[in-house]
Amino acid sequence: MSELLPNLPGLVSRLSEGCFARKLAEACLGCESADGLRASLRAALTDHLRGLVEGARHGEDTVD
Amino acid sequence: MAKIRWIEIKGYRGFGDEPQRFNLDGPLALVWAPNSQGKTSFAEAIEFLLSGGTMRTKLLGGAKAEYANCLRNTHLPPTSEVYVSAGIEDNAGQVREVKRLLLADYGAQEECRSRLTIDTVPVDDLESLGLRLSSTPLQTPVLMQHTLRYAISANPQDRADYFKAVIEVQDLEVFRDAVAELANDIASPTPAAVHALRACLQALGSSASLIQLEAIPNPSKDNVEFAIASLIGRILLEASVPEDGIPAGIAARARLLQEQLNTRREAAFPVGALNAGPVLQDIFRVPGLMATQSFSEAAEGADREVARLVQLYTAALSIPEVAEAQSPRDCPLCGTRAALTPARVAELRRHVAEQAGLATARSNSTMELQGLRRDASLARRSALALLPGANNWTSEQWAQNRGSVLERIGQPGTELLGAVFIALGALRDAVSRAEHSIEALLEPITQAEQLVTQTSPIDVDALHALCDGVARAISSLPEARQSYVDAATALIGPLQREIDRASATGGWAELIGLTQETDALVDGLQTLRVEAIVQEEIDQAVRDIDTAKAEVFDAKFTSLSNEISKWWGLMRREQPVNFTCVRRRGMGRRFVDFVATVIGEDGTTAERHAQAIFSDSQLNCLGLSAFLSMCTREGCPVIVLDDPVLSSDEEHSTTFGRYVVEALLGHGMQVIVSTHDPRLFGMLQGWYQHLPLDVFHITTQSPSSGAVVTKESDRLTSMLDNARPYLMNADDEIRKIGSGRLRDAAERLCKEIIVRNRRQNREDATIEEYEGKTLGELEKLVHPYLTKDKSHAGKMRVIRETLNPGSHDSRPAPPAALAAALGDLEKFKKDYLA
Repeated sequence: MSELLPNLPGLVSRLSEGCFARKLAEACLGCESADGLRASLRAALTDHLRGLVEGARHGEDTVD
Repeated sequence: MAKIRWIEIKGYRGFGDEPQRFNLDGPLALVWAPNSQGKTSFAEAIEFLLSGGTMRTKLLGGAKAEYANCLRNTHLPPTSEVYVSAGIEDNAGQVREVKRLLLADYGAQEECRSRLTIDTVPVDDLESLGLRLSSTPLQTPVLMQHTLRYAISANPQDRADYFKAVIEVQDLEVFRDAVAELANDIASPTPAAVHALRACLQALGSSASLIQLEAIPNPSKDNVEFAIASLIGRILLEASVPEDGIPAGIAARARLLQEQLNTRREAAFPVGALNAGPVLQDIFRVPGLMATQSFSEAAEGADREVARLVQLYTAALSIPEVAEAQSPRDCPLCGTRAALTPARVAELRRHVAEQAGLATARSNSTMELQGLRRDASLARRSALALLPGANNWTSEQWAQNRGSVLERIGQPGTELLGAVFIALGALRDAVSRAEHSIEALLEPITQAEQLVTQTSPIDVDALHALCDGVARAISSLPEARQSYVDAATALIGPLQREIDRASATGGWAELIGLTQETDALVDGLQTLRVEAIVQEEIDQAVRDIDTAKAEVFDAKFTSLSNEISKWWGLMRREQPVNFTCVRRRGMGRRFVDFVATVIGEDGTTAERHAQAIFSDSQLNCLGLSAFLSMCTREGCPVIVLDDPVLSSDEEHSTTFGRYVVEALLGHGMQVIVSTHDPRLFGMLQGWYQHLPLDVFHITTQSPSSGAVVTKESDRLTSMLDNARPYLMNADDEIRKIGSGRLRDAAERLCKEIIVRNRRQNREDATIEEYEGKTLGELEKLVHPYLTKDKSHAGKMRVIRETLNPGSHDSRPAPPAALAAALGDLEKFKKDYLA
């Protein structure tokens, strides 16, 4: 269990499967420092943004 | 679990220069002291040892400066050390010496500084010994009067923060806030194309109101171009272009809009006439004239007569008989007999060959000169093309246009037009110089061409010099043009905007520009759209986290409420008002409530805020319960309780001493209770006498010598100490308190002497047998045992008379009489109980 976020697993279990909040929380389950937490969240956000932008450029209906 | 085996205090608050040591052998230590004798200094010393400071500064309010120099004993010599040290037995059973040395006391604005060591090795904290600090301000397991009610009386935000720390869910706040801050990471700068789009739509005003480009659900290239084409079509219709005259497609519509824009602008002001010609680049290079130079050198040495007759020589040599003659032949052209000897024919062949080389040089030179003429003419046209249409304005036109500029953009505009006029003059002069230099070159080129046909030498150096002159004149043109363009641009910008506004073409130029950048625009719009979606996703994620976090809070608050209820129930049972739970209000970010239940006689119940309805005693009890919950949840190995229950609250000091202390010991905690309440102190000694019990007295004989600690398991000594501070007081009421306490001590003395003697006689005697006996009764019972001096029986009678004044006299005995009684009692204690 993470020293930094001991209650995060409990939070994850209360979030809906597949929702954005859960994705972010799952990305931070192993974080052991405040800097690590921010880095993990940013990485998850960047991945998410990249996926949406590329989807939009390929004409996917992601932005409808 | 770690255990404190001894504590030593020197110079800290009420303690003096002589180190005072508390040896702790058992799980429970009781410290008794009257008020202002050093009891709270003892508790705060432990707080200082564990945390390096005092929470007074945060909990009692007031300015920081008010706490300056509050840790060091005022009477201490300046060079004396101030420290608190302790022997702490770790989990391995090894006693480690922990010491915190005060380096600098609190200042007017500064925090105090100290050095903490374990076995002389500096450390930051005591976590390695299992002593972990909790959340501020109740960092340490030391409860004092000023910390007792913090959990209840703190302001809502502080209380919420405190309880979130207690139930250890602040990590979820950290996570939640970090997710919320992600919104800052997606706010990239507005893409340039989108910025241009916004400026364009703003300039277009109502024309664009129906085209919400940024709201296009899927901003694909087709969709964006269709929207822009639709917008241009709408503008063209508003500009009175017939519907059937509006072409399909974004490019064609943009061209038509540009035409419309140009027409409207020119109708309003001849802005186009201010535009200079295109930039000149390498329009004239100084030629090498190598071919002309070669021809000129060849012509210099050429025989003009041979050149004149070379065609005849060629004709003669074309006749085979002549060309192949081995003997003199008659000339076929002039008839001279035997004129063409073989030697003569060879001579003719040499002349013809020489003339052929000259002809090649002539041809090359001719082409070179024609090229030079072409370059010079092109340079002249290009130079002239630099001049804007305004160069041809008449004086009247300048005056008319100046008035137009003044009307549209005011006096600054006319000044800009003046600058244009000056820059145009400079450009015109430069163009004129270039034109003259080119004309000066063209005539010598013509002359050179004639010399070529005449096989005459040419002055190539003169031609070179003229070419250099042209090149110099041409090279000055770009700078002159740029100066003009700068001046014209400064005017055209504001003038054109005003013209576009006045001619209802605002935003047209920007819209036309956007049609050239649809790829960038699509990219920018997609980026914005995705960012907006992710922004909403983050907001939703924060809401989801808040909801899930509240569920985690509730589970933890339920656990905490049960814990607090357990302690509350030990002290206050079956009361009409009870603590119910601690719970969040809203999402619990700012509010945590204590809930009480009021039970009516008919069994009905109603919930209220505990702070609103609890009595002083109940609030104390709730604060104590919350504190004990925190300590047990965090697994504190030791707990220090300084006067945890009001002495006036006899019922609950009893339940505290009887049940709470027992429960704490049951948790395996080392418990240190300090109190000024002799009743509680006595009860605790009685209830826990079966334990290895450590009992201490703290007294302060003088402020300069500081608090003095004595370890006593002897209750009689504590009772005598309890009475001592009151006996010499001149105030009757205060002395009466001392007299009562001294009577209690005298009764105890009598009981102990009686019980000891009976036990020596093998009787089964206990102190409890004599509970309720008066001093008068006890004096009679003890009389047979006072045998060590003949005076003792009489002295005991005097003691009784001194401490039991007649009911007609409510005044206590005078100080001297009380002091004599105290002295005699101490003598009896030494003689009969030592």
